[in-house]
Amino acid sequence: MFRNYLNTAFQAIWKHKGFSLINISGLAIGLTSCLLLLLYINYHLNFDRHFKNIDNIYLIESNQVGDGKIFTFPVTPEPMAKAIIAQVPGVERAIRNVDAKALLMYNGNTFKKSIIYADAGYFFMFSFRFINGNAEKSLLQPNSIVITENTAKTIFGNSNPIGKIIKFNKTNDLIVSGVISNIPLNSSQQFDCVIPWSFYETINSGIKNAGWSSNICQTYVELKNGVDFAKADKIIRQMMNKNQKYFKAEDMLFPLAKSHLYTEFENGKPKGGLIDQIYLFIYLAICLLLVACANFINLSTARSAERAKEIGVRKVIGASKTNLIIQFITESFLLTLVSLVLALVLTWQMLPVFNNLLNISLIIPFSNIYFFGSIILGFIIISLLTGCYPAFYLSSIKPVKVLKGLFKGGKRSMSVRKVFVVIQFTFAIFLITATICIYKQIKYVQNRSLGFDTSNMVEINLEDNLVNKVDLLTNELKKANFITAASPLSQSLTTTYWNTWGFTWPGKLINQRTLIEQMVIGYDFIKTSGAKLLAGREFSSTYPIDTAGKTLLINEAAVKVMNLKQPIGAIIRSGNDAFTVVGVLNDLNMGSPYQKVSPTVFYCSVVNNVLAMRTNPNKNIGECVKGINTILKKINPSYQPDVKFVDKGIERKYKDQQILGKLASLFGSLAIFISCLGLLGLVTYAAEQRTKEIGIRKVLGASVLKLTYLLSFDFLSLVVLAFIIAIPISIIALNKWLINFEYRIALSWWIFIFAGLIASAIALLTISYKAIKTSMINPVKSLRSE
Amino acid sequence: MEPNMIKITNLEKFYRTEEVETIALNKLSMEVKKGEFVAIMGPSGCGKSTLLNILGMLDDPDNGSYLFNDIEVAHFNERKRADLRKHNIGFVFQSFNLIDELTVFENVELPLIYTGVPTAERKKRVEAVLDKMQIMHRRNHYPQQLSGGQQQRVAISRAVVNNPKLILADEPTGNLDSSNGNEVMELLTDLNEQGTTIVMVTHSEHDARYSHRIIRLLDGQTVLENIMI
Repeated sequence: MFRNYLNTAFQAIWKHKGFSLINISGLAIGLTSCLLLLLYINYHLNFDRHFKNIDNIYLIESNQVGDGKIFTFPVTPEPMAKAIIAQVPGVERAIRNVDAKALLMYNGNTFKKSIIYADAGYFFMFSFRFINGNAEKSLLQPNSIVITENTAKTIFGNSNPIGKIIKFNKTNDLIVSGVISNIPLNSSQQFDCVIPWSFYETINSGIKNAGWSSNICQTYVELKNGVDFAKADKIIRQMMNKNQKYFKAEDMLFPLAKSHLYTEFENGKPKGGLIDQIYLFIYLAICLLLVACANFINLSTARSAERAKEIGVRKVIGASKTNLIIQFITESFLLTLVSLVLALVLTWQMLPVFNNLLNISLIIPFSNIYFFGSIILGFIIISLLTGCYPAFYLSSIKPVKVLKGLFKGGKRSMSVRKVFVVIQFTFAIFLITATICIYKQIKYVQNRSLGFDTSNMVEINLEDNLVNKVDLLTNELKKANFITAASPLSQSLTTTYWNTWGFTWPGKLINQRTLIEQMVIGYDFIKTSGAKLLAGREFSSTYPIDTAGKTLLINEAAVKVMNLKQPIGAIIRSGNDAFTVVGVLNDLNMGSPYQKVSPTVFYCSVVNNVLAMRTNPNKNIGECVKGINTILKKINPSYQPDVKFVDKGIERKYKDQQILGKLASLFGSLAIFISCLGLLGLVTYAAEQRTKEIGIRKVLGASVLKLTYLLSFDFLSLVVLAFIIAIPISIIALNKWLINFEYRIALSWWIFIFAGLIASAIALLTISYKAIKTSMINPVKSLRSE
Repeated sequence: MEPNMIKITNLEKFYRTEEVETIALNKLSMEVKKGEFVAIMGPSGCGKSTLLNILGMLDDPDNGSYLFNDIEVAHFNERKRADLRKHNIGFVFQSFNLIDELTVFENVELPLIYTGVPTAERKKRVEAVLDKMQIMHRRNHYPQQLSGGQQQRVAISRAVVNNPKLILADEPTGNLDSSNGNEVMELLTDLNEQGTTIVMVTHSEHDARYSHRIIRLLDGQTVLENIMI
């Protein structure tokens, strides 16, 4: 019996190749889109899942009150880990952790690597696989270092690194005590080396005494199995206010498994972050799959008139309804199977493009049993989803009607098909509006002035001794005409990472707590950055008060928040230090380009981490960079020169929204394509069914244009209806998305009209091809064929 | 005296559209004995096909009684009707109604599949009936590759492969030339002589002469019965 079902299904698919091709390709494209999205979602949902104890590991997040709201940061004071071990019952371990960059030397070669200083329990908490050495002993000695497989290869080639001595920042010797396998990309712990916390304390004497009021590290806590989380969390929440009086803070346990997905907090509670994008992609995957399934169902039921004879005959000669249902579901299973195999091949082929588009590295986990389980489960669900309605609908056709030639395809199924077409196009039009809106928003933000000039601007890190040779470097580069100005900075102009609640100023309210961003800049900052001086002067080596570090520049936002009527000359204090404001700069947007610029103060110092340079605009930028590299290599030969373009750094800030835009346009196009495939199928069958009517109308004098209109109108009106439904959905959803940005566009009516026109034009193109073809058939032929 | 295979009493069937009600069968009563060959004749729209569909349990009557082998089937549900039909009745149509996607062999095999006959037994029975109908050499061809006469032979093969007690034929020669038509009528006669009851709807007086009895219908009622000698 089953062989017969399979055989019939093969025959039916093969005989109607055109239909099968439309059906299979629509479903395969839908499945491919869905698979790509699910791989992406799975990648993020499994972040840090490779750690065995992940469900017991917590990151301490600190809730601090300021500016009338609660800010949440993953920062803690140094004594917290020890206090947690001592005071919180059920703690397996608590570790401190700080990340940094370090210069490692071996055999005369220098390597700049990302390092983590961590307590000895680090490798017990995070179960990295040791290739050499072990988790128990590798961080016990203060002068030990654990490196990753890649780092081992880079530094030591193929020789065994264990026991070898690496020079740390040219000063200390570290002995390699362990090699761990490379870190997967979906790990929150990213580093090249891990060095014991005890070593960190020896090179930074202040750390040990930093106390409870300095947030200097991250703290991770691992609870024992079955420990009451709420009880532990309650004790930890009280620690900050018990141990220091400088500011109010409530530190809390936050599950590490969630920390990748939830990065935004509101009132100390997780509000969102990447999880919002994940939900969006889950909806997108489901919708794309449903669009493809709706196509499948539409095309299958549209063929009911064509298949009615076969169904009638089968019933007459003894087929029961169940027999027919099984037969049609077998067909659906077969078509889904072909589509699924095709989708897997397509996914495999498209994955590099998709990875490149999103700048990630997804792989199809062919060796993962859960992946196969999910594929099989998905296959069964989709087959049933696409097969059931057509199977029940087709199997209920009355043989008498078919044999009498009365069956023309049910009105009910036509309505269902129309509803599906409307839903498909509503979704497609929504995605088109979303694409336009996202790109418009990105463009809008990109076009806003950052407050400084990013063109012809490059930065280098001031490694090692270069800090003391900044003047020499700047002079040589100027002399060679590669740059016109340079200024040392505490951090790149593309980042904000250093802030404090600790400033006071004249007129500050007693309970007022305001988070102020900080940056250290050198002389010649304005010429280098292109920032504007709104009042006063910039720092200069001719003012002893500047060289003594007693002056500040502040930005417009700071003037506003401090409510300074006369900013120049105002005294601003931080702890026991007093600074005089000597100048006001415009607002420089160094943080999120979507948000308002924070109040910022600029200190003066030439001892910094980064050197910003404005290249000579009269010279080719490539030539300037080449020149900078040559002179850098001469002055600081131990380091490989690494010149970074500031505008590239700014570009990276649009990454998340650009990903969203790229995905919306990619999957919007696919949704339109799948919907049009379905529309083409429906129009084809409608045209076939109306061949006689067209013939009669033609004999009676109807023109090709009128007939094309007649055939197209029904379907085009569905697209118009979809457009009307899509407008309010798009307005609500896009406004909800836009509200996340302080700087945002207003939704203009043309976005919707444009999206509607695109969808209608593509639909019209699809429909009219078949409609014109049918209208041009010689009526003698169409009437005879009846 | 053979017992009745079919006994219908005061059978009524109406077709309704939104505005019009048409009476297809009007209190029709008739009997068909086991082993009988009955032809039903009448002008277009007199209710012949409706009657055949009800006799074949493809359709149910609005009123009246239908005893099939002394079982009242007039109000059987679809599942029961399908079950009774597949074990007892074979159909032959004017337009053959073969399934285009299946070969000759597969078309004939289909009723056996639905009655759950094992594969080996199916093969034996299909080959036997194709042989008998002299169409064995075309077993792997598709319906479109056959002449009308050959297609009707396949359709008859399919109708008889399950050894039905009753064959219902709806203008079986309507799409055939006279030579092929005669061959089909000979086949039906042979089947009848081997014990199969046959009810045939026809417009052809020539074909009707092959039967034992002609029932003439007009406006859904019996107007005349001719016993053939």
